[in-house]
Amino acid sequence: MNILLLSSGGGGGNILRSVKALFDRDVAITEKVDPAYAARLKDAIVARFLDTNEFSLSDIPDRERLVIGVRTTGRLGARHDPDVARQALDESKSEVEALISRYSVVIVIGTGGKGTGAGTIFPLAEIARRQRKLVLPIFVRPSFERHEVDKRRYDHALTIAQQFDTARIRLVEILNDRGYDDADPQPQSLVWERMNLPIARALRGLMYVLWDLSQVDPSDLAALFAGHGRFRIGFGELDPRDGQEPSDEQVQRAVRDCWENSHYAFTRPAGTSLICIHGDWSNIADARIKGGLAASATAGAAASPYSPLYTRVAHSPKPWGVTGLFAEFTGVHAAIDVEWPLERGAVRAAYQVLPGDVPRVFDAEAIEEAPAETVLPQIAPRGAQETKSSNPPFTTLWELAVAMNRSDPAALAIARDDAHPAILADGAEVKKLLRTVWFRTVVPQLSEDWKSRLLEALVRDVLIADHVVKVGRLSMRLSELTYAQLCEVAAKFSIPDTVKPDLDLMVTVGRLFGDAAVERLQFSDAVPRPSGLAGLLHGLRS
Amino acid sequence: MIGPYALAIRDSDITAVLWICLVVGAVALWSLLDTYLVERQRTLDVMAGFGHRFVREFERPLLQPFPDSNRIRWRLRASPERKHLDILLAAGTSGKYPNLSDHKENLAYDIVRIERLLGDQSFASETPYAEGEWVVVPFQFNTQV
Repeated sequence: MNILLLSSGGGGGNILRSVKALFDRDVAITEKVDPAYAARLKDAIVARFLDTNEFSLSDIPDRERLVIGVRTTGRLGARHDPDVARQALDESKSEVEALISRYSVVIVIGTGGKGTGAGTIFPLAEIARRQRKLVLPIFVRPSFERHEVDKRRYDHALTIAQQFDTARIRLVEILNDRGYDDADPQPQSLVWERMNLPIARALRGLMYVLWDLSQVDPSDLAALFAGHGRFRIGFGELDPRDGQEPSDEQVQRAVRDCWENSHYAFTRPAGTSLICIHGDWSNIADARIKGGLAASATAGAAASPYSPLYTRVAHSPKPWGVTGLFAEFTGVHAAIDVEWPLERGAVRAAYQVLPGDVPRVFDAEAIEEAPAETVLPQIAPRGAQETKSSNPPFTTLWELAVAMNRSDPAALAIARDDAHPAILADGAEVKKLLRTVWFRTVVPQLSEDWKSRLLEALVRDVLIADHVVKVGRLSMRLSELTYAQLCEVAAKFSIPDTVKPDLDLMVTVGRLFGDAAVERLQFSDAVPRPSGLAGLLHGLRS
Repeated sequence: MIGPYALAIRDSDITAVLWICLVVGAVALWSLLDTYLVERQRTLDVMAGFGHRFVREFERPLLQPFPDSNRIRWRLRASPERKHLDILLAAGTSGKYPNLSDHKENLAYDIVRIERLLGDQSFASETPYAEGEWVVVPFQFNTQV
């Protein structure tokens, strides 16, 4: 998955500049300890500055500029008129649509201040949603009380947020009013950094989650973004001493920083939320972080809609901490329709050039001085064999699959090798993996030995309920169907919810392991063949 | 012939007439007073209704997204005899608006905006002025209730 950061107008551009600078700063730190990871971060995120005023983009590299509505505005701006900005976007619509179509996740940043941002942020989000992208709008409501805009523009900004609500597109809404504290006056630059840092930091966590979809089910993400309401992004940094657990005080502070962010519009209880923890510490510390966030989110209420989706980033470079994307609970909504890419693109390709595991190095000089052979060991079958006999870096199949999906060189080396006996392959785990979208891109990278081992485990440990399905006018059991028939049933006929998971699993097995693999699957006879009348009724229902 | 009985009848007639006049006068006065009070109350109700609608619309954008926040304080001052309504507004604990020192134009915009939105032609706004911590938005009520 790749992420497009798209700013709209001068205000949005300023925020994107700030977010990008903060993000680049983090990447620079990352580069010192893990250049491959840093490269991956850089490749996964692309920034584009959209504007009607060419002059406001003078400091932006050409490849990152996107001037819209040249005929409408003469490249001179939208004359503080959101309607002119909308016309400019209409003029350049095909160009913008083509840009958005190349990315899986689109983060649109704009302010409600003057013309371009106010006039285009909602249409841009709509374009992305129409293209079935995961869209996260970040909208800044300006302050009229502190004279950033006049009241008329402030009122217009309110209508933009309402447009998002009506279209059921969740957004992050930042309230600039909250950046002014009479009791604790601060320079504007510091306030902006306070507002933007959580976005930049959270992007790392979100990028990690969104990039490979291995830790969160796509369906959960689609549910997270469903319905109207606000998102709140938070980041709490945790920096324990090397090799030590974070203290209670550090955890509490990180939880508080992640949860409390007064700059955002967020008035309802938190519902489905994405929590991403990164840092090298124990699961006990993880539990304390999760517990702290849950306590904050539920506020002690017995019945709370808070439903966290936890993800864990192991061995990631600093800054460590916890990232939260909290969604207001606004009721139960049908999940949004998102086009999840099953093919991984340039990022994966860039990663695959590394032929082996990359040793952890701890400063930039060490990278420069170390001989290439030492830094990037060649993967020969013999070398892999040696790895196998030593302590394996992955103990479960799931860990291996997740790492492969992240194009982890060590995992890819193991995957290309003979099946590694030290890594347990359990049929139930294989079944669980086969039901995820991302694993379907992992299987083709496995060696034949690995594939046959996974299939053996599945055949040995998993019994599939032998449901009866209608194929044309015939009632047939799943075990009686060929792979081609299974595909036809899955594509053409209405399948009851109780049958669909098993049918999908069989289709996936056929697609990934070959037609013959389907015939090897084991079935339970628990499901009786329906009577003639029941079959007739089923036929009527479908 | 005028006897003592005739005089007695005449005195009682006068007394009766006086009583009748008093009662009629009292009823008429009562009626007038009642009409006045009813009309006054009706005018007050109309003014209060307008005032409440004005204040509600004035604070609506300020309460987003925190509807429970104390953004403005307000009170109404009505003079039904003069058909005059003052809406007094001041910033609450969590805001700086309204004030005339640095938000005069925003206030003028808001008054026009709300007048258009409410569409009540019977109230005409006059120039707002400051009264201590309050901003007074005066209105003249032009229609007979």
